[in-house]
Amino acid sequence: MATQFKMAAMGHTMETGRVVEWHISEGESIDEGQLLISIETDKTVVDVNSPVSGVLLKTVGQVDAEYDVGEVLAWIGDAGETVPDQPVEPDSKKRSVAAGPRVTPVAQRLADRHGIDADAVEGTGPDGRVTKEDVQRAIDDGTAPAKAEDTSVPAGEVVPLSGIRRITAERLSANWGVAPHVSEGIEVDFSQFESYRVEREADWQEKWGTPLGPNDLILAATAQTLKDHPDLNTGFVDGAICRYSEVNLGVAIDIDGGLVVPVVRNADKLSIGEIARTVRELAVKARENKLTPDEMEGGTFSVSNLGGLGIDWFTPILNPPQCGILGIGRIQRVPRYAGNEIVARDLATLVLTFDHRLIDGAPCARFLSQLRAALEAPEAFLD
Amino acid sequence: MDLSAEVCLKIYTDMWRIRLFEEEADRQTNLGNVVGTLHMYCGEEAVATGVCANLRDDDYVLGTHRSHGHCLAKGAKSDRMMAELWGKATGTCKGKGGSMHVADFSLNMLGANGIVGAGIGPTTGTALASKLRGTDQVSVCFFGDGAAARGTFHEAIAMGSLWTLPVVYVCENNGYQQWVPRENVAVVDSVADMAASYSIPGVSVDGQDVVEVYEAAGEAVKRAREGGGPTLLEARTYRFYGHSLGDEQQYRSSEEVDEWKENRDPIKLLAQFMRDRDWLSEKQDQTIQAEANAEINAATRFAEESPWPSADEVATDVVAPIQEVA
Amino acid sequence: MKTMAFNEALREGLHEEMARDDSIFVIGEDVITHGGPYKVTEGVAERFPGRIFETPIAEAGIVGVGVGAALAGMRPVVELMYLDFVTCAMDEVVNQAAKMRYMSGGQGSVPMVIRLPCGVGRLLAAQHSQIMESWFMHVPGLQVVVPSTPADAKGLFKSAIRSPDPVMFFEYKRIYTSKGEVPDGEHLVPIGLADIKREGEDATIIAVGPMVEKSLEAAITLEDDGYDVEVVDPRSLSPLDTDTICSSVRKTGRAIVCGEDSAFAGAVSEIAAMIGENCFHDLKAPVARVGSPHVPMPFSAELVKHVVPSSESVVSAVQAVMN
Repeated sequence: MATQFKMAAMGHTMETGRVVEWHISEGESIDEGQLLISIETDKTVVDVNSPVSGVLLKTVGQVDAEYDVGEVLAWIGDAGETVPDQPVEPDSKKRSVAAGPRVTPVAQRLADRHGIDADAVEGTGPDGRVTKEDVQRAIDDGTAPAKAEDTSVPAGEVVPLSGIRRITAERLSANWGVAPHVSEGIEVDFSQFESYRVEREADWQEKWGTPLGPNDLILAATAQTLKDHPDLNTGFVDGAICRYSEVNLGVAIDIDGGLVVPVVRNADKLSIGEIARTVRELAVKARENKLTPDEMEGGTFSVSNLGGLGIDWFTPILNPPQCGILGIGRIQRVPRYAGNEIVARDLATLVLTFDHRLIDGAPCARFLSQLRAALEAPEAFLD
Repeated sequence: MDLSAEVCLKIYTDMWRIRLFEEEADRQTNLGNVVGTLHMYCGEEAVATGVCANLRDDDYVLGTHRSHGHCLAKGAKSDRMMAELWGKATGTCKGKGGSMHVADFSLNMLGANGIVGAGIGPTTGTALASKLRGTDQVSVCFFGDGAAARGTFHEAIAMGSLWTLPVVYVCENNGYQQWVPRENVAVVDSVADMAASYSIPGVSVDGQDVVEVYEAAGEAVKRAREGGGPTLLEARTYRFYGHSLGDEQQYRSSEEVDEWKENRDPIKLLAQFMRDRDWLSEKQDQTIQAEANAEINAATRFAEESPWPSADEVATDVVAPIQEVA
Repeated sequence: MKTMAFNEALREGLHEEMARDDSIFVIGEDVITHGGPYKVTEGVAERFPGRIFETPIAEAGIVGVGVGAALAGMRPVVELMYLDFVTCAMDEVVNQAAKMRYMSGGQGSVPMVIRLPCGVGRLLAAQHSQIMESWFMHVPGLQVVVPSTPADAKGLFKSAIRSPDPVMFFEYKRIYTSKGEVPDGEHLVPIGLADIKREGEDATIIAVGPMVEKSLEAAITLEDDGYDVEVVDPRSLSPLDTDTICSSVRKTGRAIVCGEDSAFAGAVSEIAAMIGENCFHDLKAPVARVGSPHVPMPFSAELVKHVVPSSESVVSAVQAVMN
């Protein structure tokens, strides 16, 4: 078995050495201790003697070339012995090539931000991959190739989220991820209210100082009905159910720049006229961007009405941390059977979205039924 | 090195300052004003004064845990030292060092040291600094016979000799290594004999006889100053008090202590030496003692009236403030 | 900029400082012959005769002499051949050098650099491979400096020599020959200032000494996972640049502290605790530590690779924190 002659460490700091001269040629015999090779270290030239006796079978180390400490320089053994063509690479020298795309995702992220074609950047990472550093260098050098127009992505302007939009996005997406949203819808007959409205509009104006609409009735009835359904007038706060002692209704109002939800406080203690006036005041302030933080905080349940925009029904999203929100569709005159007769009815669909962590479907259904009954016999609220 | 009447008087005065300072510190300890512990120098005054009388202000001195005497002999102010013992803001070390770290860098008295044998290396270092700078300053290290057992003694003196440094290694051999008589734990009787290991002169003198100490130290300092290298000077001496406060001293008899106090007190011996030569009148003697007494009483008043350090001093002098960095 | 090895950068810094200030001298074992074991003191004896002292093998004496010379106004550069030997001079380092300024009430100081070749180099087992940074971080009055690149080595070494207080200067043996660019001209790196070696968004690796290079390698591997990591090199462990570390962690929300020394009660533990105290509400995951297990350094190469953390250890730690 031939002996490997390796580059030895000839000083604390030596990592490589340069072959200066072989003093023995391939095929010649050499004795242990006889001068074999001269090696230049970072400090000096060292003459190295053979560690064994035998025939110099093969010299791998080329004159003037640098070799790491531990690399095989020659084989010494018995005449005629065969040796490998290539020295076996030590384990530490083998570099496993990591699999992956040519451009790392992080490099791609940086390139996308700067509109750079990362594929055209020279890669210095493992296996020639393009790393973040490569992209950054290209940006710094000004050599980064611009990205060709990408037709697979629709053209458009990127508008950063700001103000209400950003807060809305953050709050609602955070809540959507944790609150199981479930919706239930119910059809409500506003015919009675509509006929009263025709008859009594002038009286109401005088009595309440404002005309009344179906939305005011819904808010008044919702507030009263919630008193009988305290499990829905709740919030999910710090991992627990917070059962609110007040009934404060958030009223969604569409303004330029987004949606705001001012609060009608203690709505269950207000008359329908007081509710109507409060909502109108809040709406004016909202459109003038004059709502105070106080007026937007403390809601316990929300109501959102898209009926005015012609929407038949929709499933609203919860306004965290509240447990419930009621979505109101438009009132539409439709034919309905009354016994065997077809009669005209003013109907709208109300959809309740609730947080199923806090309450189940059946109690919500009972809430909706009671609310419908109240809305269909509105006298109690109007006189 | 002949001892003049003038130098004698200076030494005699310093011996009394040291004696009275130590006794006052002890008294203030009993009053609860000086806290921590004290390693009293009483009985050994001839060594510090006899050596330091040969030194210049710019010569370096490093001491031991028993170093009040070294400080005073090098010229330190007794009031600031006493304030340090009280832990006052006006102390030599702002109350951060205490008895075992009294120092006066303005006099190149680089400090007492709480670790036995720890000053020998640094004193070799100050001597190396003098040599590198080409000054003729001499460095003196005081240490006890216990320190001669430490590796630092061997390592540092070997280097002092190797580089022919201007240093005098002064061993105060008081016969006890804390509570243990030297002969119980040391195989070499005379520390001076150990000098042979380092090819430097070793001299042993009677540490109660300040004349002997002064003359031997004078030669050693001269040799150092003139480039002749280190000397190991052993002064055989005795401590009148225990190792530190509260030492029951069961390792020695009261007769032994009384014998040393009666017949081997360095102050008495020097007074006799001076009277024999008519260098010290009765009146001079009284004046010297009275002035020393007044100085020490003033030191106590100074300490008592000085302010305590403020809380923010806790975190200063740990490292230099940033702006000092070059 | 020119490219040079870590030990060459130290040597250049030493020569520049010795030419600038006569009070600097070198003292240590074998520092003249062969230019010292790591060739850092090469050429000093020829260029600055009389200002380099080759000592007996006496670490307590060497450091003790350094303390005294420094107290007397010199600026000794002390070399201990292996960090491990500092245990023979612990009194001189801990009780003398570190505390002189405080005990003397600011009268004296010890402007001394102790050079400490440390860590695994060649395989030299348990008494020649230690790191022990945290031993000295624990001692008030000492500065603990750990450069990771030739540029930092030179800049920090020059600052250490100029410092008015003792500096424990950690030189990892394994990176003495690693090469890097060093700025031309006067190059000083202040002690106590961390350096962001790579900017990133998703996690902060705080890496000490050779772990910097390994973390930068890991960062490239982690790009494949889509993780863009920041690498912060504290450069000095005492004083510690808590501002730079905390602002990076607040930005990324994740911290992985990496050192080659034992993580148990090691430098990384102090940094991890500091992050926990200051950045708790910004953290998306617990702080992770990467270090060696709490064992002496073995001899066999097969065992050593289980002790010294690799760039793969860093990758795994980051992946765990990201998940």
